[in-house]
Amino acid sequence: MLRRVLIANRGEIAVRIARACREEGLETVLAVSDADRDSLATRMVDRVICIGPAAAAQSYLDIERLLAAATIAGCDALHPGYGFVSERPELPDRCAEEGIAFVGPTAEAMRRSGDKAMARASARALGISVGDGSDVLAGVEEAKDTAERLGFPVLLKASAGGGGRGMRRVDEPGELAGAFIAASAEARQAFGDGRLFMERFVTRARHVEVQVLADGVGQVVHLGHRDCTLQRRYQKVVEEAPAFDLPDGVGEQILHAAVALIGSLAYTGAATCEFLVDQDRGTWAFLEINARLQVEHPVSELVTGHDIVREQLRIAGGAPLSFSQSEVELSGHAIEARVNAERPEQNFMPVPGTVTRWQAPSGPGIRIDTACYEGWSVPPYYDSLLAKLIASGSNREAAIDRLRGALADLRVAGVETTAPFVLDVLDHADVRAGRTHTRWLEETFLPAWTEKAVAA
Amino acid sequence: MEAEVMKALLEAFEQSDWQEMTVTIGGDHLYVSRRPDASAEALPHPSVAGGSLPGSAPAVSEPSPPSTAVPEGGNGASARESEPAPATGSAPATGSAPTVTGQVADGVEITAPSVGLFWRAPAPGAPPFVQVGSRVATGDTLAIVEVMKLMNHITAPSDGRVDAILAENGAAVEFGQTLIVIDPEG
Repeated sequence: MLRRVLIANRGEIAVRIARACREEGLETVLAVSDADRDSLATRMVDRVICIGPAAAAQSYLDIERLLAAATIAGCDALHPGYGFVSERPELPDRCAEEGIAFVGPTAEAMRRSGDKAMARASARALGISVGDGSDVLAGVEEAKDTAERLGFPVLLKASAGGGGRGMRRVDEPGELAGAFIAASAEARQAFGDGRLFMERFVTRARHVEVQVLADGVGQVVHLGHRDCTLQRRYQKVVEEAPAFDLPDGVGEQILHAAVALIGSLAYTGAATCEFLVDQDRGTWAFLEINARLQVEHPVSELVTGHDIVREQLRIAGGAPLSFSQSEVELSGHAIEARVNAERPEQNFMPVPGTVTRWQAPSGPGIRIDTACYEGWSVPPYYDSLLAKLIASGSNREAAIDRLRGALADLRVAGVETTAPFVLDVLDHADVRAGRTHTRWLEETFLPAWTEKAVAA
Repeated sequence: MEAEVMKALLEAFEQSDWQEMTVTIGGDHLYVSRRPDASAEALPHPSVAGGSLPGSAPAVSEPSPPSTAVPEGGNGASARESEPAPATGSAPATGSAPTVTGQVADGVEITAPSVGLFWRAPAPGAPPFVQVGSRVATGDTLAIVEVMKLMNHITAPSDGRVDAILAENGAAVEFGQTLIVIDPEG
């Protein structure tokens, strides 16, 4: 049994973890940077420790400072949230050395699942479709041969990558050498690892992912799938559960694939398996594993009724999952909109400032995960997520209507938000009808929307 | 305050290397100091204080190792749960409660660059880098903030005299917490 958890993160996810700890009867210690001394989560925890200056490199990204805070405060567990150091295998390694339970997989399981090329190989070994592509490429020559075999366009990806860094779409042979060098350099800079592999570029794909929980003592269960197709620069904008209008059999197939894959990796904790679903061909391919809690986890919680963060804490404490696969019943539909402090008209420029008014929507089927409060100054040092507005309903139509209403009811002053933009996205006929793909937002919606918004 | 208690406290003070001592028992306050310019202003209720006892200071025949004094308050909010120090030998035997401080003056405040443990000496048993009253030159190491075995040396930003040491040896400190005050004029 755990007793005291260090929350090694900030913003809405720190609030989310603090609440889950409270419900699990765990004491909480929050590590904050100098810029977050007044954050909402500081009011919800038992103790706050300032670990470093505002710069993330010397605070939330510094594993040794996080561990210093954990040991000083006598914590026996550490929850990394998402982003920051949540997917760095050194963190579970160092936690183990200090006798602190890491809320997540072991370092080894994190390496096996987090490395894209390695995860791809594991999936292929299980007979899971990984789509047309390559293993790690030795160099430009092999990249050229592979591209000829796959047919352009192709996608170069960083093996250690994430968030679109080290990723390049290549449309013709002449672009390949330059793209290879640039992507490799970018990957080396971002992840300290320049290895690349290649995939055939799917022109009309849906991004569908499966939420998995593994307790390390026998159970690996899924909590259904999510659709995260509405993205901008590989950042998700709207997410929903379950994924809808999947080609026949695809939903069941990816659920089974995800459970089998995670089950093969000696994995403990929460994981997400991402898949690309090719709408035109009716096929799917495994993409990658995210070895952590994800931003969009609430939509899965709303349709299953299970609390993913509490289960993470239970698993870290050595307890089995509190439910079995047969107790996962999906009910209705849930949809989440990310509301950021950004100006969409100007290329989504972040606009930090002081929130002078914050009136959050409420009502049946509405959930808001946020660290916002009136008087809070959104610091300019971190991501610009202000709140996640999540709505559920008996079906997709009802859930979208509720989310629409919630976005319209949100009253924020002091900072600009992306709420009006997301509202327009939800109102678009293509979104309502599910006629979207991963590049729809950038290629179809945004050009027209931006022109209109700038003119207005 | 009974005479025997006061006597015991003064003996404890004499045997210590403390620069000042303030004791409050119920409504009684005792303040003693080795400083020539000492006054009882630091006391919460000077009117009921035992008063300054300038004559009580032990004859300062050798360079006294002035290091610490014990006022009320202190700012060691984070010091509570730390392990006791592995020792510079200069920590006062006051148990775990108060934070070690000197006078807080209008000096240059040196703050912790990180969360960590505050060490006043380079190694357990070694003499402390500085004491209250020590003269320091720019760049001199004043203390260490340890982050999981990584020793961060805290250096003097200017020449001056150490006016206060605001954290106890071995205490847990947070980023931004004032550790040492230097009087550049001193």
